[in-house]
Amino acid sequence: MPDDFEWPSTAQWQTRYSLGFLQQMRSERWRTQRSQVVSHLEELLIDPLNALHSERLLREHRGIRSARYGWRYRILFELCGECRLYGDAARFTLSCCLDTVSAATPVQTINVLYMSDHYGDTPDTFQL
Amino acid sequence: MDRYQRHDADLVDSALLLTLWARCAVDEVTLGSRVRLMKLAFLAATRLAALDVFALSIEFHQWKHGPSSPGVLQVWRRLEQSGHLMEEESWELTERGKRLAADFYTDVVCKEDYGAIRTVLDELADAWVSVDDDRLLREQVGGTTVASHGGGTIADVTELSSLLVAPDSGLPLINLDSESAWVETLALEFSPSDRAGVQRAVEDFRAGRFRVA
Repeated sequence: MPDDFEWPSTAQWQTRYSLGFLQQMRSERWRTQRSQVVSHLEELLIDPLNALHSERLLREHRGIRSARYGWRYRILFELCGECRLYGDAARFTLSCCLDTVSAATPVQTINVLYMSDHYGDTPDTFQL
Repeated sequence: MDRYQRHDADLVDSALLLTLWARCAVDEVTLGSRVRLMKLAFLAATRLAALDVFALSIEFHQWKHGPSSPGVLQVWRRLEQSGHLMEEESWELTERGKRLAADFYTDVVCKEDYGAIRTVLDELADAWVSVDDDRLLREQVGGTTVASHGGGTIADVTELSSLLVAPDSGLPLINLDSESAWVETLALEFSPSDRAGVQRAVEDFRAGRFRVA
């Protein structure tokens, strides 16, 4: 996948992609699915709080959200500003984005972290 | 239960059994032998089933040394791979496992909706915490009556017979939909490779290694 591939962003949500996510998308596993990933991301950007069963993770993963890509994969991302809303800013800082938000330019940022495999490490079923 | 719910129920089973074993621990770290943990899981499952509560979706069969479950073996493997348990001479709880068990107990098991689960876990903890005696546990399990075998005891059941089968149509009592944040979190918690991937991505952002679309 060329580095200049157009990953989605919207007028309301500026999107930032981690190097790790971009490397994942260049891998053989994901290269052929990038258009489906883009369409999911576009759906997510319409309403990142609710689209694709967007869910805030808990415990040490607090501050990260997961959104479903099919039944098996999850787009893990972070909404700038949410960490401050829930008091997580000190523990989960991504050199963040609120400085880009102003009344004149109400653009917020989504940090796309990683595509996880929801059942990736499920052990084999044992037989007695 | 469809296959997605099946997978998600496996995640919840793992967290619930970890919580059970942590509450019945021999000491702060030691959980006990494989026999001890298997028997505790069986006692919890039978007590919950007696209350018509299918909080655990694992099945048990009669085996050479009493009730055994491939589901429990799978839970051990998952918890060991993900760094929540480690097996030395006996099973031991890691710091990560200790924290997860405590959080799952507080945030999920102690919910009003899951009172039956909490009661069973607390009763077993009262009876078995600090008691490291597999013989006593074996005796208690051997004397357990099995409804599916005409009310006879475990000791009378022939090898390979099914002892406790989760109902196909039934959903676990722990509601996977209302606990979806926990299910999503457990999936990441039990996947060391994904945890590492997320950690690397966080470091990418902190170091400015990202691309703005």
